[in-house]
Amino acid sequence: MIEKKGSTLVIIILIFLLSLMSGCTDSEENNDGEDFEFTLLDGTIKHLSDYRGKVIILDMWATWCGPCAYQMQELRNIYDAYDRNDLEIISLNVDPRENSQIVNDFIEAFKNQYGIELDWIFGQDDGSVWEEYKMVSGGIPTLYMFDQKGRIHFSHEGVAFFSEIPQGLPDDSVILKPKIDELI
Amino acid sequence: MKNNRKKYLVTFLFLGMILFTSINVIAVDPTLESFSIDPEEPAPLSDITVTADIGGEGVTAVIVHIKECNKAQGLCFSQQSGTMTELETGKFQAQFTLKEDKADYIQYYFDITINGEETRLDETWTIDLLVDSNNNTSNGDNGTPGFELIILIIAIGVGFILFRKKRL
Repeated sequence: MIEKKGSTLVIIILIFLLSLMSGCTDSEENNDGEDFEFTLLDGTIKHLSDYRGKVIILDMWATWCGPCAYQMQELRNIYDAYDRNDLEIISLNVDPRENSQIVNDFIEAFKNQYGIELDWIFGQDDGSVWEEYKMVSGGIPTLYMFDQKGRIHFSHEGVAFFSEIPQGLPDDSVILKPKIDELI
Repeated sequence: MKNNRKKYLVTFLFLGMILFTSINVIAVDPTLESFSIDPEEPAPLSDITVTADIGGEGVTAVIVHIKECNKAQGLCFSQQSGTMTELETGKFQAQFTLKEDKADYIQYYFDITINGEETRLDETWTIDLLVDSNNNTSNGDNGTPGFELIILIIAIGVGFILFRKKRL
């Protein structure tokens, strides 16, 4: 009887220790955070990990995508509202047919048409970022928010707004400000 | 002498007029005179035929770009581009298969090559797709199956326990 109780106790302790160990492994993985490589419009290679310590909003887009252009205006508001030591925005063009010249032309045209300067980090994806982070529908814009350690805090497919939902749009539209403020 | 001067002036003016007229003809901007999609109200994933009548001299190639998007979700899925075949002078046609079942509208625009130079027509056109209102493509439950099954198993378990208790 005592032997049986002893072995049960050993099993319970073992399970407890194993669960603790697995917990340690998980937290170590989380500390590493996400990472990916992309190319700036001037050809410089960058990594998400280069921006550790800041909240990063990754915006995957293409020049032909109307909702993505709308998203740019919301990103402008976010970019203006936070300090550069706290938050960066990375807009990655995920259409392999579009080169940096096309993106530069888009930025120029956007400035001329709307008077909005798109002066945050713009880059090109070689397909690897899209492959890793595209969501169920595979639509753009697709947004990810990474915390200061590079962990995914939030992801969303479709236009998301900074602090207010424009009139006429669904009430359940995504607002980004509270999600950013949770991290900063 | 005076007569000669007059003749030169008239000839010069006449040549000038011809030159001015010919410049005007060369400088005709390309215009999309008419455009049609067959079927008029396509469904997602269907085959469509795009026909365009382009006005203007020297049009050597027409490319049509078609993007498939979803209004409610504020999303675009893909863009297809195709060089249109010239059926007769100024009449171009291309065929596409729409790729996205979640798209509820398509947008299209044209690039026209005139004398080797590509110009994008300013306007972008939008056509709503014929979407089956019963076909809820953004069903959030799809990603989390099994909850109903868990509830069913628990219910069977509770029922079994109660049944045994009653028998005892």
